[in-house]
Amino acid sequence: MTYTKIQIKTSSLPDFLPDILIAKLADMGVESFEEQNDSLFAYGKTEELQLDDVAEFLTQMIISFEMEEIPEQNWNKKWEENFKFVEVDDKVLIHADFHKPEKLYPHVIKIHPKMAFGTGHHQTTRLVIRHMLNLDFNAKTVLDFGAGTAVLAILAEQMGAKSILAVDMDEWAINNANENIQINQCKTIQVKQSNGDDLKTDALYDVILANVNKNALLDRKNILIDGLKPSGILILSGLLENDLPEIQTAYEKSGLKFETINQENEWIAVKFVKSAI
Amino acid sequence: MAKKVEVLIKLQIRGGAANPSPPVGPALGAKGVNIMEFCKQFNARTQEQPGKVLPVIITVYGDKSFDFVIKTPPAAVQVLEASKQKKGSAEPNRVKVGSVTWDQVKEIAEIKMPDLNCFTIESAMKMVAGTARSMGINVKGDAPFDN
Repeated sequence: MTYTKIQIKTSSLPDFLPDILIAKLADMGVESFEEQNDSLFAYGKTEELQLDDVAEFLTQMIISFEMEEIPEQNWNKKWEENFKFVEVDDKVLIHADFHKPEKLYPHVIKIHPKMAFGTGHHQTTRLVIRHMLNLDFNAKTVLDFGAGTAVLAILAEQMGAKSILAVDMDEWAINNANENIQINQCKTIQVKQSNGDDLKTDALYDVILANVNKNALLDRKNILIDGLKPSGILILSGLLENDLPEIQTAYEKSGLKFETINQENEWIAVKFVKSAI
Repeated sequence: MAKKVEVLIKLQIRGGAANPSPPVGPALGAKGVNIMEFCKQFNARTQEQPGKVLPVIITVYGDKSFDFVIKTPPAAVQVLEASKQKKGSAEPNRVKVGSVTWDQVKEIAEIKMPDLNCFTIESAMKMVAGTARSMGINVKGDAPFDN
């Protein structure tokens, strides 16, 4: 997906005008902005930007600007070339090709992240892994919702799951999940690009792992709950501790039983269980 | 010892919607920062304001770690929203393009207080009212304080 950058010289504009431009351009499909000393840079997806409207508006305001298309690329490459491996409780090692493991771990996962989330560096991933290490995955069916690199799906397979669906809405994540599944020689993981709306929800999964964010977990609550088998386990992550009351209330009202939370700094991952009937 | 600051990056991103595309990707990626970690943190901390353009100042340190501070939406943007106008006047002294009430000015001033160098709500209101006037937007009625 290509982006378009619009550069606007701000040095000769009245002080209040850049803020007005931001408000107006945001209405025309601009996603975000960068402010530098004498310029405002506006960015949006080329196919969603109303480029003609933007050009007409800036011309009417007698503001000089330049537009440039930015080709898609892995912006995270520099970090990915030199990141530190991650250990979780001496039981899981997540590493890249350039790391040489110095000891044995029960679970070793190799990840080439390529701008997808899930390297274990963020607390939310580690918190789900800690829940997973206390679960029995043997012959279980698993949904990894918001899979990113598919690190959790790969761990579920290593722990014995018989069938795993890894879902993400982002195309980069889907490509990367497929690559990591191949690198780790996984056999039971299917990957699907979806925001959840088209998922089958007829009680297919023994365990659902969802590391996304509070709003997505509230929006997709029914899909996740309906997808669970009776007595199924739901692990929710991507949450701050302040999010707990709202999440707990919403999921308990829908019949799930709150069990435990794992916490690291302000981040939490919550475990719920569906009733047996 | 305090960490060495490598660069300050000023972005405006929609709440809950940071992603590794430009400008986040190139601005942070070029400094060797883990973009995905920034996006996860920013989105979690701004999820109560989905879609709203929010200023964020990111400090990148020499060891590639980062901090960020999320600011309140610009006063000009809030004044425009309140007045239902889409752009300021080209000649703010002569052509007024809309109006806001002092109650609306107070509401915006209360939101902006954490980012303004003001000790009282009255002085914050004066700053917001000044922004409105410089955009050609009238503040209706008498000020609820002595000028």
